[in-house]
Amino acid sequence: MKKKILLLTFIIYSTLPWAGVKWEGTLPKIAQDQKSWEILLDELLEKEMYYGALVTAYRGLLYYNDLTIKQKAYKTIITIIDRGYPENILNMFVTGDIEPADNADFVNSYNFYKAIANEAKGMQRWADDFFANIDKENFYKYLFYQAVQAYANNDYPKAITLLEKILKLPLEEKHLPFIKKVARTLARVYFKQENYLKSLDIYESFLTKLNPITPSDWLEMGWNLYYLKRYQESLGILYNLESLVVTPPYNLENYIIRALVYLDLCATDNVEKLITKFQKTYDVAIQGIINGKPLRNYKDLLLIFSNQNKNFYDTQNVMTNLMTEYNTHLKKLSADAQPLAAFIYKSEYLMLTKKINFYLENVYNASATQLIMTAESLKFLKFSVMREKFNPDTVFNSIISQEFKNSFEDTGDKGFTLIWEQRGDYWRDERNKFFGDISNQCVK
Amino acid sequence: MAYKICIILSVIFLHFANFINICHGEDNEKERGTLDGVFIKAIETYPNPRTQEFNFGVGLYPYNAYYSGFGLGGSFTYYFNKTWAWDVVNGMSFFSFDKDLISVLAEDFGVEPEKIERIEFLVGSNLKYVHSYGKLIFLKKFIRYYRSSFIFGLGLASTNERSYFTGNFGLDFSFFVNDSFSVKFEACDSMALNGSSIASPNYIVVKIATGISY
Repeated sequence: MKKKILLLTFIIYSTLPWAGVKWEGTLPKIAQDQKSWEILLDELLEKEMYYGALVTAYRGLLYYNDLTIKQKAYKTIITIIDRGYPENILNMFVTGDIEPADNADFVNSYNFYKAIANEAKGMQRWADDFFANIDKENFYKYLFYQAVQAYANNDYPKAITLLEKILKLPLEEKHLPFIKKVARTLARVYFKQENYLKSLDIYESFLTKLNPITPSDWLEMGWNLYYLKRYQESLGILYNLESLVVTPPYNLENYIIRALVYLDLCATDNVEKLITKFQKTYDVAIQGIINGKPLRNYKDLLLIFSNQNKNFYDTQNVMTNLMTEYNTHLKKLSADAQPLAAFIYKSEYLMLTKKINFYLENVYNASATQLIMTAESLKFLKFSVMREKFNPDTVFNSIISQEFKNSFEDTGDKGFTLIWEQRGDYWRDERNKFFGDISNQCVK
Repeated sequence: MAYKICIILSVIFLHFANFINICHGEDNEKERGTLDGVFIKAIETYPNPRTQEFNFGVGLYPYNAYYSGFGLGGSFTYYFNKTWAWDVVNGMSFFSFDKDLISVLAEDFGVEPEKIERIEFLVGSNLKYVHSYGKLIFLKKFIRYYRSSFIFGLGLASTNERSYFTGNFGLDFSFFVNDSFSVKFEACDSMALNGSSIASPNYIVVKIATGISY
């Protein structure tokens, strides 16, 4: 009976006039003029205020119906993605539909992102339609998409062929962020194949030579060196992660690689110091988690990297950059463009502040899990290292027993090599030249 | 009494706090440059291993009251090792430009120097002692390597009046653009050995040159 009454109420409500009214927002006056929007977008691009330009472009898609405006907005969005914009922008390709014209790169890119956006929403037929309009043989982004799929399906040879094909294409300097992504993926595929030398070569000869550097590349290089048993160099590369170039969130894998190196070298003292340092940094948070205290009490958790928190880090990054642009560049815009720009920057920042709060609970959980797992791994490490010191396999293993100090020699009279102790100084050109002066301590 | 005890306790506490601070400071000092107690070292390969170098450049001899000398010259240097080098030959030819003093003397006092001894060329052969290698950050952006050496040797200074044997002393700095190209700044004093004892000519020349190594 109750159900019937409820159903009847719904039917009556749906016939009332206010039930059909659409939800509508009103644009503020300064945002109603398309011309001002176009001028602002041009100015933002000209002044290299790319974070603001992306938001403005997206607002153009939302606010105006004019197709030329939508094309201009999509062109801007694609340009900024190509420059390495960090956050996922697929939702921007759900908003508007255009018949893309102009250059082939733009047309291919538009169809590609549309296809991916539809695929992500489970609309495969629409996705196939957009994919059909892409130059599948030569369009570098599509080739990369295929390579990533092959990598995810563990089809490493196919992934390598595709990635190498992309790197041979005549790409321009503006594609550097994309090239970095391709090179990094290739290095990871080689790593998965246990082809550590080839993987290392990509980090050594390209990725870690770039400025600014991506610190996770040092970490991945450290893994390669560890598996190649080049322990001293592995520690040297990880030393870079102590420099100020590295900003939060911090990846705890750094501790794991070092622990593994000390384990292989039976370096008990160093393990002890590693554990002490870890405890000194994270013990308060660990004790809090163990005692069931609310995770939000431990802000340090936000400084710990977890793969699951990508959206949070990206949003944080966008917020920081938006505010930097707002505070330092806004005055560079013309007086007419400033009010609209201020409205866009402020409203976007407010929106992102709300958005980031939705991520927080998951972020705390993921980081806490990461921290506890690392703490547990390190807990018994000291005993493992001591055991390893007298492990018959280690004692009689001649490869591990070798001294590593002799790996580095003076190159002689023709030029010369200097070796000196670091005192907390980090010269950019020395980044790949550090090594940890450690020798094998396993009982021979 | 209580007041005195309070003061004594405060002094003890402050000493203790200071002691802790000192110990902590020492700890930090020990930690610097280490990773979990492992000393971290850097391997630096000096980027200019070439042993032979040609230099071409311009020089200025500004320290004469009557004229300024502007020079064009070159040199060839052989590096025996990372410490010693031989500037086999180093020569510079000068053009001179009168300073205001000559016209002031003529206009204000109606006098004109009878003869002005002007430098025409300097040539010499020097030993170089490389005292330091280093690197710097140029314009807050570019890391550049440099090498600096002391110069001493013998030479010949020829003027429009006569020639002198000279003893040469100087200092140079080479800033490397790449393995085979550098920019060199040099200041060298060529002191006449056989001039009159009262006023031996003394030619302090400042040079800027490009170095091409092979």
